[in-house]
Amino acid sequence: MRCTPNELLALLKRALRSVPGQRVDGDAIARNVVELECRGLHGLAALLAQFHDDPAQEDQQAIIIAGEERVRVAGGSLLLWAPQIIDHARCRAELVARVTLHMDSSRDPFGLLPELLRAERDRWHAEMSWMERDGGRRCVLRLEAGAMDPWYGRAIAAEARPETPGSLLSLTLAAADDGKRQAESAGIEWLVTPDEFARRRAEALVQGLDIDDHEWLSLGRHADQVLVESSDQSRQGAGE
Amino acid sequence: MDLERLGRQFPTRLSFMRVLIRTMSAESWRIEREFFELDDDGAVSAVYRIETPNQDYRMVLFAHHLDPAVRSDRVIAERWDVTAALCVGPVDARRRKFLASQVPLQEAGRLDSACLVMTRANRSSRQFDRVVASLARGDQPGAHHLAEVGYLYRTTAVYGSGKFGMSEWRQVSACHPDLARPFAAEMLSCYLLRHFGFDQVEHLARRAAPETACALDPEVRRSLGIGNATGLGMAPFLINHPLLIGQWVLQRETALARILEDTVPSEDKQARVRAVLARAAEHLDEIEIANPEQTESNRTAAAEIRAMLHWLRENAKGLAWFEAIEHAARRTGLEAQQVLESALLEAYPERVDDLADNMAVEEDFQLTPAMRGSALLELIETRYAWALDYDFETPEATAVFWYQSAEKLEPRLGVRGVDPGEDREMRLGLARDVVACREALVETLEAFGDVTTAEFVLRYPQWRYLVRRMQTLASTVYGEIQANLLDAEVLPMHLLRCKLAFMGVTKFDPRSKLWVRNTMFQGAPLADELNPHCPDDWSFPVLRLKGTA
Repeated sequence: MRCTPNELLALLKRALRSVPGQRVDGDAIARNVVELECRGLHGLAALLAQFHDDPAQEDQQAIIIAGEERVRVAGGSLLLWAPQIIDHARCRAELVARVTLHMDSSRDPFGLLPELLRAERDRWHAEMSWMERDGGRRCVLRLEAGAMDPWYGRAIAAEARPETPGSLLSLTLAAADDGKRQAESAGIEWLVTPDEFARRRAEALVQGLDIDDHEWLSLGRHADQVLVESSDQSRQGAGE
Repeated sequence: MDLERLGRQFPTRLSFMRVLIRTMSAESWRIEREFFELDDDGAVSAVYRIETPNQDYRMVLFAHHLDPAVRSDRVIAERWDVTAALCVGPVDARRRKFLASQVPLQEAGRLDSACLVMTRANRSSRQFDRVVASLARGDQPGAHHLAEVGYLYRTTAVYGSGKFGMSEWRQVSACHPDLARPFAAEMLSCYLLRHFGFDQVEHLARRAAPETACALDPEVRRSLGIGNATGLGMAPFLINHPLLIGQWVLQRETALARILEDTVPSEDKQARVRAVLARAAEHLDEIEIANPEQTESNRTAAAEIRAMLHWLRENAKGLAWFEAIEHAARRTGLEAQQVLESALLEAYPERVDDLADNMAVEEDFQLTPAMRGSALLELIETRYAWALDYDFETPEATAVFWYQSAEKLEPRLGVRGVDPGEDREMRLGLARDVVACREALVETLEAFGDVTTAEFVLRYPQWRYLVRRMQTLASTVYGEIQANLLDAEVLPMHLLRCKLAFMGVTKFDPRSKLWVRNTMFQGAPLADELNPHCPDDWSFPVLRLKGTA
């Protein structure tokens, strides 16, 4: 299915309204998924998997900020809780200029990216680091202050897991004028450059997004749950 | 922003139709018929080329045979008299064939990013055949008929911005500078539908009576606009785009503020304002609609405007505009006040017209996570005091709910406790949500002290959208439309008219409290009159056709 970003956004917003109890910022998540799809980062698949795994988040605290730098993600996916995680990071960074959060999940790591992009782009550098599943290598996502697209790469050599116990993903947010930033690029193979992400975005705007048919149908089924069946009586509610 | 005042607005120089026509005239856009193939009943297709200094566009139209029994203005209609698409670049036979396979399907069709707008329209059942018959006899249509219905076609939907595979607003604004203002492409499509209607009735008259048929007189053409029927779908747009609506209102009020700085208006300026007011009174008197309340409102406004004209003449010496505004506020209703403001804007193009470049804004609500809960509470209690004034313990305050029908996703209004669907209601009860969010915040502050906004929305993710919306709007001048859309007495008509006035429509004809007919581009210059010398003076159009049959 080829659709425009706006069409996907509209369908996502409706689908997210169907989440029981609506204990998410559905509008923000919908936008985030579209931002990911425009960069070829498969946000929709991540969201649908979350729907499938854990459709009812109703009665649980979704994420827990333990202390000031540890984040426990109950539902597993970072995509669904990215808004609150980045809110917390920004809030901390206001106080200390440089903050590193450690998360107990690295599921859908790109899910954090759109919120980083939206949050006062000129003020922050951001860097995320996580280990590939199944003993793979360390992945890095780096976003320069003011940039609209990140660098994404992977460590050239296999590395040991991070030392912080329970940390599967770390996110550092640093003020743009923080002299300590200067993250090294040595030892990292950059897989996708900002230019390539920008090219994908531009292409998505012109050509549209290619969405897997099954995913489109699945999303449509969620979205349809908020529609009300029509009747002669309901038509009167539109002025007939 | 008070809903009733918004719902009494009239078009101004900043309305999108006016801005579009100004641009088309200033840049001498050329509109020519490139392809026109109609049979005796008016069916088949037409292509118009729109040449601007920057780009070429095409309006591709398909007229259809339509049984009058199935003609409907509702969104849920399946067939229309004419369907059309506005596209970028040339349209050859192959492209026309593709569009012919999709455009007539409307919502069921798929277009591509070379298409900017898709629309459809129905004939006025009273006017269309009457005009064809007049022209076939060699006569111009009668003035009383034009006063009754001022158009040949009535649009029932105008889609753009990425719907059905079409180009998105971001793309349009970045790549097509001619149309890089809100709703410019949509308004252009409506203007071209009007133009097509003229060509079609003349064609049908010539086919019916080649010996006697005549063309529409240019004055008659100008008197014919394009009709429009608008329903509830527009209401959620307004509630969901507070930054955009606020931006429009801000430009309008900025224009007025600039004019009020002229504390000693010249006689020329005063005469210009009086001329527009006189025309507005005549315009309101001419409107013939079925709705008795709106008719009464028009008559009252016309009388008040005439009384105001008298006052303006009496007080011309040393008059300052703020005195006129204050006089209107004391002595007239909202409609006459709004007409005065429109007339003031008409008299000062040099202070107003540049503001048309500021109408676009991105609808993005940013959370301020470090804001303390106490500051957030203060923000709610000051900027949203209007919402907290509602008593949601009373059933009347939530008597209705909004939902989306499975039938073409049409927004509908249901009665709570009676109609099905309240478990799936749309999020339009802003005032109710503000009250609930405030309660949650107060509880949090009591239990955990002065937490940050980030901590609050972590605990209550369901309020994150509303909190970032409130924080963002707190820094705007006009903020939200202050109304409870769940109230038993809610009048969605005000919402519809507010947006329609910004579009530039006239002759509001409410058919119920849920939908309205109106007229676009009535009095606007014709396609062959678009040049830098074309007068930009067609607000409050009046008929000048006393001698016609």
